[in-house]
Amino acid sequence: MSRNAPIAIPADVRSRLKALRLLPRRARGAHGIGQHASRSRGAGLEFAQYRAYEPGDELRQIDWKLYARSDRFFVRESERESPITAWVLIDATASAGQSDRARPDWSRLDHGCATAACLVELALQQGDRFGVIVVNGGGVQLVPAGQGPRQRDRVHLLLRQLQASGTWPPVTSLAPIWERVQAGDLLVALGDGFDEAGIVLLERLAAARREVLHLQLLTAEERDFPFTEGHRFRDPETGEELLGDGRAIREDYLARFDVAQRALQARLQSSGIVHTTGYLDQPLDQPLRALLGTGSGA
Amino acid sequence: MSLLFPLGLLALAAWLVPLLIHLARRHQYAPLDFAALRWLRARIRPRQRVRFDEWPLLLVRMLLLAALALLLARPVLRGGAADTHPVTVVAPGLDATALRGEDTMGDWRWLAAGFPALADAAPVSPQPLASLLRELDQRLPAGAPLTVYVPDPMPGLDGERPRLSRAVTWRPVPLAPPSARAAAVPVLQIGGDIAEGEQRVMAAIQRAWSNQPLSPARVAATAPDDGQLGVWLAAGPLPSVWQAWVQQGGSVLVGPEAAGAGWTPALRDAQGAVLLEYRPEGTGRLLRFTAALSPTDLPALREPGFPRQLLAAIVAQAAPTLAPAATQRPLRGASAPLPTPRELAPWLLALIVLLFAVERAMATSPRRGAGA
Repeated sequence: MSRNAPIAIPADVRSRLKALRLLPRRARGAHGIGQHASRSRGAGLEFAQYRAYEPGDELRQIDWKLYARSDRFFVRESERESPITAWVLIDATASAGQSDRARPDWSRLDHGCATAACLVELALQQGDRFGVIVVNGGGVQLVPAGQGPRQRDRVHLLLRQLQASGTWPPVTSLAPIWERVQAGDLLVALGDGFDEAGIVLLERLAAARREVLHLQLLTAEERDFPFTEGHRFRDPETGEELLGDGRAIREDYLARFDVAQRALQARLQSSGIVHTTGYLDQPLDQPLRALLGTGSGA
Repeated sequence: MSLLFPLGLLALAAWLVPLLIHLARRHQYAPLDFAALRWLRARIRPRQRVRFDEWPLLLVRMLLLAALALLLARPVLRGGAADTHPVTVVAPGLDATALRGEDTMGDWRWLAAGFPALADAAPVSPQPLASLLRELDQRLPAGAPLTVYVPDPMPGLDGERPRLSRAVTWRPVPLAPPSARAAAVPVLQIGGDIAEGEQRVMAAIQRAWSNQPLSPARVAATAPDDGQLGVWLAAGPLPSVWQAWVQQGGSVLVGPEAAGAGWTPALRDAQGAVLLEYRPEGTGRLLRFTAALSPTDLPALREPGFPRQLLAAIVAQAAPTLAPAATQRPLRGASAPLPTPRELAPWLLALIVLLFAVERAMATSPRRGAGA
């Protein structure tokens, strides 16, 4: 995808998105009316509990059928549904510029931006507040959380001018994330998951009661290693180069990469971070379904 | 098919160039972004196998070089159907339109250099007709009937009766020859002082040649006219004016005291003694008597045949130039003309241009950039 082109979500992906819900496990919206279970109970559709009548409760809240059975007043309480704040954290370091040789114009960053657009669409449908944080060599760029179609346009404006560059910034320059992302917010991190500092950040956010989901985006070449000839492999972030024969080093790479992936998954799991891997040759919504479809205890 | 210049195939050595470029280029790997580099362990160097990718492009390039080398080797194609339509030639000087008559379809040509078509103006060619006939016989493919119209008597003969490879329809056309040319008898022109005895001998020789008296002697500053035979028997060297005349083609008789080397005998007496010697000077010549012009010193002067012998020695007998055309009918038995090989260069050039276009199209196609 060429830069500065509008981010378009394919029609089939958009139709499948309707079945998805951005549901946090832990986060509870505090204010307003939304779709999420809230810690504040009251009138609503979803049953929460019965409690004994106290003077001052509205008479229409009393469950009269239960009164008929038990001859005592019980008040039926429901969970109020309220909006949450969803953040999308995009890793736009130089490694995000990598793309498959089969599809050279579709980089990891393009895929991440399109996924972010999907998430924004979900949050918009649900009436949630949403914001976007981009981390690249220049530090942190963000769109503060907001609501509504205008907010979506602001997010798209930022996504459209993203360039993959630099390495993961030092911890000091990540302060805006801590200022904006509040406890209880939902944060979906999109990136390759190769940056140790990035994983550490997610672990800390999760430990600080942020609901963190990690969607690792890998190219098909990183998954399959389809190289059969000699190549000069270059790390886009460090500039390190390595000359190798694809056929000869494939087995070793796949084994080591698999071990590293398992280690990452175990590490994130132990921190309470939901982790899924998506690939650039897959539809946008496939990893989202894995990420959002399960584990969301509503 | 054969090659006129087989050494041109040495240009096939140029095949090494695309092959080497192709193999050398393979060792340079374009850098490939790969973020998961830390899990790569490449202790194994890429194998440097001899492998040809993009072999169609390589093939086209080598074909192009092969075609160029073949062009240098000048291939010709032998064989093929020869064009054996009948040919009629007319010697220049004959009335071509009358001879041709109503026959407008046949291949009529002049018997002249280049054998132009009869429709052209009658050419003037210095070549003898016999030589032209031989050339035409070798030019026409074997089996093509040939009809020849020649004037009778026939000029333009050379040393041998034409011997051709085919039977010729020989058509002499009676034509009055141009006026018979009489052999020119030189007129003696005496220069400078001359002794009375020598003058008498000269006058006798002139009288014997052309029954005319001697013209008066000229001074040293005046050269003889063209067609005259100079005589310088006076003491002293040949004057410069006379020498210049000799250089331009004149002939001068000089006395025995004339010095210089390089004389060649021109006339001998009955005993074999040299009477007259000559030496070329420019385009002319000097003729030197070996003894003084007196009957005592040169006894041959007394013989009645001396003037005729002298004339024969000085003036070469003109060769006959005309012969009855019937006697000049060409002989058979010459070797058959070699079939003319066809040059393949134009076709090769077209092939090279085509190959070059294909090569450029393949080398610059966007598909190649993506695949590389």
